[in-house]
Amino acid sequence: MTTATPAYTTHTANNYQKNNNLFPQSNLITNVLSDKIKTFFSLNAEDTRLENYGNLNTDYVYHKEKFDFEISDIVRSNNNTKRSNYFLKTQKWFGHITEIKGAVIFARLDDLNDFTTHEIAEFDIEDIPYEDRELISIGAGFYFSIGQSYDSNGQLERKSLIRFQRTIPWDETNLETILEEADNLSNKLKWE
Amino acid sequence: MHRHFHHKYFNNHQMFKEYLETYKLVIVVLGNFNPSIVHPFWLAHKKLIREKEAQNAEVEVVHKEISRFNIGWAHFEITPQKFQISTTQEPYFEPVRDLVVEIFKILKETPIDSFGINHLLYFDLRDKERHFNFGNKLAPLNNWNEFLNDPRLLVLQITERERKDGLKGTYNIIIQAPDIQIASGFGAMININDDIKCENLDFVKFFTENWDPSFKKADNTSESIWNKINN
Repeated sequence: MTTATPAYTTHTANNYQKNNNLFPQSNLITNVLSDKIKTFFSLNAEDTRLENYGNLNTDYVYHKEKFDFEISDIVRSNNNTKRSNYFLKTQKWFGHITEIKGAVIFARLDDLNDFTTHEIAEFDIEDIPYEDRELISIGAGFYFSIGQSYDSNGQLERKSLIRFQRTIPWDETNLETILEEADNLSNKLKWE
Repeated sequence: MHRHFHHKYFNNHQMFKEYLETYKLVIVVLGNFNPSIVHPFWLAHKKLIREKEAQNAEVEVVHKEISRFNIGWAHFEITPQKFQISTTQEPYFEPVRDLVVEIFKILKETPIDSFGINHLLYFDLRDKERHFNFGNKLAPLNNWNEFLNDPRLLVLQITERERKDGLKGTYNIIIQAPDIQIASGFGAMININDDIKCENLDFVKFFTENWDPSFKKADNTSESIWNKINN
């Protein structure tokens, strides 16, 4: 019996356990589960679609003693199946460009986790994503983060991200509102 | 005494951060929306996302009743009553805030009743004992031994009906099993729903003003829960 499980099985298996409340979606380790089930039911290698075995939940409940594994055993050892789009242990800054010198930009970075500290940093323009380069100008704001994430093979990677802040241009109404707010604020200020 | 307290706080804080596996943010806005307007290419056209992100977006459906798509770092779901954006990547929390703000600056006539800044914190508790204690500390399980064999906590929801901070809305804390994969299999989630009614106030302004306080409060709340469980 092959141990390879096509990608679609992951999807099917996820749906299967979700729809049948066999155990929490978070705990599914597709390959381990499907191989164990295939072994138990002596399934053909080609036929890995769990949805073809709709009575699995019932079978597990009523013939628990026949299974040579516990569901609680299955829910471990899934280090390689962590989703790749989760970003962990992040440190974040908000940057303002203070100077542009050739292919290098200088910026003030304010720590988003600790507003009392800031740093000055320089970045090569080639490190800025291509589509964000049109946003480079003195005073432009950007987010800079470092952290970890897992790749699709479960390998932990350290990553840094730069993303320029995207806001719609001010129109006359916006400016009027801001001026009005500034006036209100100014009227509230008391000089002693 | 003081040093001991400080040391303990430091240890708990470090432990909290160490066991915190993932932080998911879900922004929910309730009002009256037109789902078919919000589309990846509309966002790119307004220069709120990159052109490439619109091209590579996974569009599930764009229809007058529902619009659902993923631009890689944020997932959108819009129905006539609900506008929702979520991300599982902390570096994009502020860009998600910017998206919400900019979208509703454009759609400024949209009537909005309330919004939720929902903080979903996923912990990898790593072993069976810590996993059991997580539920047992919050809802002592021996209270249930009389009726149930080997009782376990699955969901616990506590709500604050009149908010301490004076805002209208509710503050809900839900402790539950995680809905994502956790490496060890021993996961737990603290789900904090910060639901605020905006009534006739300017949504963009109100949402922006409440952003930082919501994160600060969620941080304090989740860490306090963690400390109660692990003391």
